[in-house]
Amino acid sequence: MNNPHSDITDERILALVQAAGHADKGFRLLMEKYQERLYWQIRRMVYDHEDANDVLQNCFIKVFRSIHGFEGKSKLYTWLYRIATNEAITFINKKKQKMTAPFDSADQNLSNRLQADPYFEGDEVQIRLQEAIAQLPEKQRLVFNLRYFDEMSYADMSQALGTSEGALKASFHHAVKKIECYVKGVEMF
Amino acid sequence: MKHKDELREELERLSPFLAKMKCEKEGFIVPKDYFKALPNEVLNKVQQAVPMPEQASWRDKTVLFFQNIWQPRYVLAIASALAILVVAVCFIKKTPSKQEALPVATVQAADIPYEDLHEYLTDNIEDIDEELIVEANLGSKATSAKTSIVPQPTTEELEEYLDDVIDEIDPEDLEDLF
Repeated sequence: MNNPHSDITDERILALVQAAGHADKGFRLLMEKYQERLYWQIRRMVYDHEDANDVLQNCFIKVFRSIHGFEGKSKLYTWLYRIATNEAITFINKKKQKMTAPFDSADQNLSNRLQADPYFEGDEVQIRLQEAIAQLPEKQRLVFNLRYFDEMSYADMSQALGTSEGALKASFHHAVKKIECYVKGVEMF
Repeated sequence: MKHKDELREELERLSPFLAKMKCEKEGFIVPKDYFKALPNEVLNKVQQAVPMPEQASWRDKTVLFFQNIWQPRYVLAIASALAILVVAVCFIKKTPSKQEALPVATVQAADIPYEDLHEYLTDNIEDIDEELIVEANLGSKATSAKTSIVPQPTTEELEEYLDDVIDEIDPEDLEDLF
């Protein structure tokens, strides 16, 4: 996941995006710098690659529409993360409405979905881990993914989710315990 | 780096099992060259679907405006608006207001010599609506006899007319009247 654009500053990207005639170039740099982080964040929420691709593209279109309204009060990534998360949650809710079976049973079938997914190469333990994460409440799942996979600091997470750092730490600790028990086969949920 | 160390320590403390799992691959993969192709794909969609950002120069906006104006939906809308405008203008021109119509008619009638008007009305008396004749005659009394467009018979002419009418009436009809 080495990103050749990670050394380009957000200030440089924003200056290009907001300069007449350079918006496309600036926006391309923004995508190249953040697309992978946002993709994985979305993918861990929706699981399927095609779904993640749709959500990510919609997310970038929204970003392009509203980038001029970005005031720089938070980090660019936390702002992008908020848009991506909202987009993914909207997608999941729409999918829930379309499904005839309750979403819980869809979670139980996650193992089958992952095994049939051509873009999933994990073993039994990895599938079990994803099942465990899927069992968490929505907010706890977001916190766990951001901390465990994205390695986001509690300060940035606090900005992105609008929750205190203390509450986020407690949420992460609780999620870790639940997941460990689930993967090891100990009843806790 | 410090941040990553903190995270690893936190995870080791909370769950050595998950800390160990984190070192292994996650399982999810993406199609080959997906991230290489994505920016172009998104930019294509953005250029098709998203209006030009506010910061674009006036020149770009003008060019975009003239490019878009030839799209069928815009052409249809403009053509419809023009057609409605033309119809509206024609309608307004064909129906002058009463305030404008009256002076024009008066001036035109006044400009025609009395003898010509009299001759015209005598020749076409059957084609003219009776109500118009009555209206014109009433109006003429208020102004002057010269501007009246209906002929004013003399006493001799009236007596001659009545004699002719009486000669033509059947005596039986006269009995019916009484």
